[in-house]
Amino acid sequence: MKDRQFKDRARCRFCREKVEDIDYKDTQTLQKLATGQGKLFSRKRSGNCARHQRQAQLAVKRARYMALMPYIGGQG
Amino acid sequence: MKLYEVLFLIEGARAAQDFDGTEKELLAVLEKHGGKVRDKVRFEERKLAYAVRGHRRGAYLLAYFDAEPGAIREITADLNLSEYVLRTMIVRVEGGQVPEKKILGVLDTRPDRSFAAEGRDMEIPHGEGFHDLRMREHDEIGDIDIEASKDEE
Repeated sequence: MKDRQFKDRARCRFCREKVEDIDYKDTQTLQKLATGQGKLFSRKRSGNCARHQRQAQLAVKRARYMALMPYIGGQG
Repeated sequence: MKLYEVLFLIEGARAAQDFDGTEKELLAVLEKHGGKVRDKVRFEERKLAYAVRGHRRGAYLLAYFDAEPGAIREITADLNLSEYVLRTMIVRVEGGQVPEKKILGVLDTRPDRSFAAEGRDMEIPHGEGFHDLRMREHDEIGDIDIEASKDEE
């Protein structure tokens, strides 16, 4: 049981939720992967796997373009 | 024919005045180039993360449509001519299915709300200067909390 819990925690948050594609419109999720300044956390910090970190990177960039997230700074 | 998703960022004033007309015009552009609109969702006027062409507020229109890949370039070119559309983004939808859940997250960094959401009682004292300082402090605390909760998951 304990082993399983540990395995679950060791996996990336999107893998656990079985997310296929990270949605750029879902800023609430993306915000958890970024600092208050809007910079994306490193994989070490966010715990994402390589595939999902790449998706998150693209999603944040798209969200920034659509003014859903800041390029820099919190409240713009 | 492939399924695409388009997100329009529309000037706040224009959206407040005539969202119906704006929606019609924009969807007409898609249809002009052979697009077939499958679904659409409006997202009301909100504060933008940063000012776009001097506009601090804007509304969003999300639409899903089928189109030939070659038509996308023409659609984009047409949409760029529009004055009240601040930004457009067309993205291919993998799998060819319109997602059931259509969300457009609100960017909310206000600490009072995040604390309320977590069910905590936190009184922010009022008063100039001091208030601002406290707000900023809470912001940082909020960030750390998010990280901590991640570990607990």
